[in-house]
Amino acid sequence: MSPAHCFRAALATMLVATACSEEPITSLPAADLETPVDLALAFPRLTAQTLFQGEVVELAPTSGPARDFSEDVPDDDDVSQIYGAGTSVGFTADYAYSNGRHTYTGNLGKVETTARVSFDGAQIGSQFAFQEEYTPFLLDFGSVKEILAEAYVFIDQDCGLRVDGDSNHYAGWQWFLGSTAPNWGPAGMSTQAFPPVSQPACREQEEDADGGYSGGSESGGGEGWVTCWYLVTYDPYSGEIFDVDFLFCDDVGG
Amino acid sequence: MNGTTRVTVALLGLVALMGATAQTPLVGQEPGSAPIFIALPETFPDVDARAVLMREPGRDIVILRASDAGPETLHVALSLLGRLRSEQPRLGDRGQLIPITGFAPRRELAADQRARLESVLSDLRTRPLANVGNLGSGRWMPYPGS
Repeated sequence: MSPAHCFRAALATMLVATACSEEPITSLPAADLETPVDLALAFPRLTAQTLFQGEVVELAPTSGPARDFSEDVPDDDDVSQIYGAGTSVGFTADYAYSNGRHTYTGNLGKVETTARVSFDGAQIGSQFAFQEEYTPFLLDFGSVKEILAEAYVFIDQDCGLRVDGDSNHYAGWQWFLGSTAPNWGPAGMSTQAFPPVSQPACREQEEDADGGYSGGSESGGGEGWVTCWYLVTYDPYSGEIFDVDFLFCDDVGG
Repeated sequence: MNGTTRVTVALLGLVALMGATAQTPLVGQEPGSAPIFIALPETFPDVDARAVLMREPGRDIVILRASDAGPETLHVALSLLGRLRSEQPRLGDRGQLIPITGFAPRRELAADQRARLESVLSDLRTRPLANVGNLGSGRWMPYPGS
């Protein structure tokens, strides 16, 4: 084969490849898309768990003081116990939170908590968080441990929002860490924050209640739509999730 | 031409073929000029959200939940998208997914604004069923004027 033939062959290959290549249809100008066709779209592998806050940690055997068996505990379930379980909610300048916590005996402890944010009576966002602790079974001799999970909803509002929350508390024994591991003596309970905590009413809400004022946002609430959203960064080529900015509620404007 | 040159030419052709046929996200469009598409899949992604924004290099997509595809939802989605586009016009080679879990109005939509959004949604609902990527069957359209 002569060099000229080779060049032509390569050129022909590239021309055919280019002609056969297919770009996503959405690369066409929007106005030209009069005929319905399929939309090239690859939604990344996002699951509800992607948006959870939490972790599973393995504790050292000396994580808590030894249990005092002279304490007055119920007789019917003294293998593993939950003490002082509770949920509290509140606001800081930057976030709303639900805090679930308890003290327990057992080599497996878990607490799940959910913060729910409402505005004007309508729930607009909720954030789930969990904490799971495991102490190697043979090294745990009934020490008392504390566990805590906190769900955060980041905000830029200083009025009008309400947060409430609830938690599920768990303690038990397990041979080894894993969902299929043999376990025994589980104890569980739920708690709820009461009462919910509210920010001060926004000025326009107060004034509207009196039936007159309809403008202004001096109370810091803005004047658009209070919106809660996550921001997930991903690889559009593979669908792999890189990063999650957890739930944020702010004034979207409009 | 010797054997080595032939192999080199064949490999070049193969590389060109692979490069040309690879499905790549759109790149190179000017920030702000990226088209916006609205999608109404029959099966919404398994996410606790009222709508999801999907930002990719070269285009943005508003994915609406069929049971919640009203003018308010579209308004909030487009308002948030507009803000994100102005704050971060260039995504580089990354994509962003923005599940909108909820919203509450401080004021009602203006009548003309509501009418325009309802018109867009009405147009979307009359589009024939097509394939919305890996979300399956659904309807979609370019957002007018984007």
